[in-house]
Amino acid sequence: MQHIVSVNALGYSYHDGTAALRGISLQITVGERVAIIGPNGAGKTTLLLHLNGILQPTAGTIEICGRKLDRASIAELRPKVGVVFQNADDQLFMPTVFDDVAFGPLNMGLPPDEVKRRVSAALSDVGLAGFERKAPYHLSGGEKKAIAIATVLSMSPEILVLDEPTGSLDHRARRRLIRLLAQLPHTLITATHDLRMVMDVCGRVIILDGGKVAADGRTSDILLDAKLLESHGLESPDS
Amino acid sequence: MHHAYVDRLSGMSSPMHRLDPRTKIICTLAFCGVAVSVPADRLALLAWCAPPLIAALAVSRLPLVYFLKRCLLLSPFVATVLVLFPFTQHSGTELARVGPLVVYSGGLLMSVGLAARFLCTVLAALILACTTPFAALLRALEGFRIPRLFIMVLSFLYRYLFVLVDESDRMRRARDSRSPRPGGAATLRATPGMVGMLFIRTYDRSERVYSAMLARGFDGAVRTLDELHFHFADAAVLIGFAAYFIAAFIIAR
Amino acid sequence: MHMPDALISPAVAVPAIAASGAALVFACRRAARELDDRKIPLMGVLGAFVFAAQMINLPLVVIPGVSWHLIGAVLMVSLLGPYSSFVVMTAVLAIQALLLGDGGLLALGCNVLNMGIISCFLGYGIYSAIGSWAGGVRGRTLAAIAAAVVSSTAAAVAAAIEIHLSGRNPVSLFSAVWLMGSVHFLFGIGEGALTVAVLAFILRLRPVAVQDDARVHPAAMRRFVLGGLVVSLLLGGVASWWASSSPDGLEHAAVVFKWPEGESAFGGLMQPVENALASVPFLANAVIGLITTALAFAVSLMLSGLAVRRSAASKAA
Repeated sequence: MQHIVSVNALGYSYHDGTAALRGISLQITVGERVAIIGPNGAGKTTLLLHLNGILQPTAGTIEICGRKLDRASIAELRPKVGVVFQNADDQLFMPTVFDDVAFGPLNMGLPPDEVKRRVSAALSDVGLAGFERKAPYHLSGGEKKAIAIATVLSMSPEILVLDEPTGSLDHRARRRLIRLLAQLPHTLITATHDLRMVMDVCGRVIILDGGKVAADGRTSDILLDAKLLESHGLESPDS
Repeated sequence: MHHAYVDRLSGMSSPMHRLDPRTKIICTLAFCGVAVSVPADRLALLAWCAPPLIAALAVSRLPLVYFLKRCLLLSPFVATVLVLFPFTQHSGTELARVGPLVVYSGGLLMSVGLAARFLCTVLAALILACTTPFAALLRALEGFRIPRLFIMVLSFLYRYLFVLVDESDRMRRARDSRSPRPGGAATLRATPGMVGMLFIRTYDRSERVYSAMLARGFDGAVRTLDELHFHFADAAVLIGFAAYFIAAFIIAR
Repeated sequence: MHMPDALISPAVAVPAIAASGAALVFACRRAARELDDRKIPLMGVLGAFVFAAQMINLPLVVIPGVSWHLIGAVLMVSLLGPYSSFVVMTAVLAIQALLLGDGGLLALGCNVLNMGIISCFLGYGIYSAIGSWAGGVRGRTLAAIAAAVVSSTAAAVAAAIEIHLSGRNPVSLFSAVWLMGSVHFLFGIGEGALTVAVLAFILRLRPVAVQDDARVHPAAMRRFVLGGLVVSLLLGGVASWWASSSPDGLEHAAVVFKWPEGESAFGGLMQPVENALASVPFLANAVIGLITTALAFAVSLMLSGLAVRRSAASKAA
C-alpha cells in the first residue's frame, strides 16, 4: 500500500547549526489520523512546515502521494497538503471571508464558477455557511479557526495538517472544532498539546522529543502509558 | 476607536449602502470639488451643497449625533487659520477692536466660508466612509485602474490595522501604568523600545502571513473575483447628481 | 500636518493629485522590482505598524501637555528604500483621510506630495548621502536625524506654500513658511532621534529587516542631485505659472518671489520683526535659514555624542 506521506531520515538544522530535527522517519497511510505530541521545542511545528515545502530539509526526503517533495514538485504537491497554522489571524489576510477561502482555489487557476462552488462547500463543511461577506477581524476565535480550516478545505487537499488547532479556543469552540475534525474524511496530521482531543480524534500518536521520534503507536497504547508520557515532559490526559 | 466605529457603520444596510462604491466615490469627489471651487466672493453658493448632504444622510440611516460630533473636531491647522483670518484679512469694514487687534468683516467672511467648506467636505468624505465597506472600496479602486500593488498594500494595511492598534494600545497602557508620572521623561524613554517591539512583532507577523500565503499557492500575483455591478439606481444617482449641480450653476448666474 | 480640503483650491489640488498619482504608479513599478514576493504582506503590515505607531503619543517634555508622534517616513525609508516606503506612506495617508478624516480626499494629492514624496524621496536622498559619506553606526545616526529634520521642514514649507497658493493663507507667505517650517524643524529633530533609537533596537533583534544601502553609488547620487534640481525648477516654474495665471498675476508673483510687507500677523505685534526681515533680500534669508539649519545639526551631533570634526553644516544643508 502506498503511503500518502512518507518521511525518510528527515533532518533539519537552522542557519547557526542547531539541529531541530534528526533522522525522522515515519509513514502515514491514507485516512489515518495522526497526532504528533511532545514537549515545547521538540520540533513539532518545524516538522509540519516541511510537509508542504515551506521548509526544505537539510537531510533526508519527504514523499507526498508517492512523489518526492522538492522545489520542482512544490507547485503541484502543495494543494494536496492543507496546512492550518496556529494563529488564525495570520491565515485570514484578505478583506472578506469569501476572498480568504477563495484565495487557494484562485491560485490553483480554477474558473470563477468552480471557485464560488468550492467556497460555499468549504464554508458549509465547517458549519459557517453564509459568512462570505463578513470581515475576518470581526469574528470570534472559534469562527476564525473554522474559517482558517475552510481556506484550506476549498483547495480539496488530500491531507490536512493542523498546528495546535485547539490552542486559544474556549470550551464551546473547542468542542465544535473536535466534532468537525472527527467527521472530516481527510488524512489528518495534527501537532497538539491537547491530549483529550487526541483521544477523541486521532487513532495514532507519535511522540517527538529533541527532534527525534521517541514513540509511535496506537493512541490507546501511548496515552495510557503515564510513565512514557512523563519521560517526555507530557501529562496523562486523565490526570 | 474611531476607525472601528466607521467600519461597523459601513457594514449596515440602507439604500445608500447598496449603491455601487464607484458611484459613491465619484459623487463624493465631485461634491468636494464643487465645495472647494465656489469662489471666495460668492460663498452663499455653498448653500446649494446642503440639500444633497442632507438627502444622503437621511437615506443612509446613519446616526446624526455621531456625525455632528465628528464635524466639530477641527484639526489645529484649520482652527488656527479660522481664528487668524478675521484679524489678518484687512478687507471689508472694521467690526470690533480687541486691544491692538482689529476684526474685519472681510476676514470674518473668509472664516465662515472656510468653515462651511470644511463642513461640506468632511461630511461628504465621512458619509462615503460610513456607507461603503472597505472591501467594496478596494474593488472600486481596482475598477479605476489604481496600481495592483497599492491596492494590496491598502488591503493588508486595513486588515491588520485593528490588530496592531490593539497591540499598540496594550503597550501604551503598560507603559503608562509603569511610568512614575505620565507625560514625563520616563514615558519618553520607554517609547523607542515600545515602537521597536511593535515593529519586531509586525515583521514576524508578516513572515507568518507570507508562509500562510505560500501554503495556499501564492506565486506573487494576487487574484480576486470581480464582483461589482452597476445598477439602475447608480445611473439614476449619477445623472440626478450632475443635473442638480448643473441646474444650480445655471440658476446662480 | 494633514491638510483638509477646505484649505486647498482646485488649482493647487489638481496638479498635486496628478503628480502624486504619477509618482505612485512609478513607485509601484519600481517597488515591484526591488523586493521579492514577501513585499505585499510586509508593506501592508508595516503600513498598519506606521498607523499604530503614529497613535503612540509622546510627551513634548519641554512643554507639558503637548504631545507629538512619530511620522515614520524616515524609519520606513531606512528599512524599505524610497519606492516601497513611498507606497506604504501613501497607503497610510489614504486610509487616514478616509477613515479618520485626517486630511481631505481632494487634498490627498497635496498631503501625499508633502508627507510621501518629499518625506520619502528627499529623506532617502539625505539618508543615503550622509550614510555613505559618514559610514557605520554613527553615519546612520547622523543620516537619520538629518533626513528627518530636512524632510520634515521641507514638507511643512511645501504645505505652507500650497495653502498660500490656494489663497487660503491668513498671514503672509513669509510668516506661514516660518511658522510651519520652524515648528516642524523641531518635530523633525524629535522624529530623527526616535527613528535612530528604534533603528538601533531593530538592528539588535532583527538585523535582517534593515536594508543596508546607506552606501550609495556615486553615479546614483549624481542622478539624484540632478533629478532634485530638475524637480525643484519644475515646481518653481509651476508655482509661478499658477500664481501668475490668477487675475492679479503680477501681485501674486511679487508675493511668491519677494518677501511681502503686506498683511501682518496679529496686527502690529510682529510687524517690526517682519519688516526688518522683509527688507533683507531673498538671498540673505536663505543664508539665515542655512545657518539655523547648521546650528541645529551641530546641536544634534552633540546630543548624539558624535564628535565629527568636519564642516558638516555647509555640506548637509
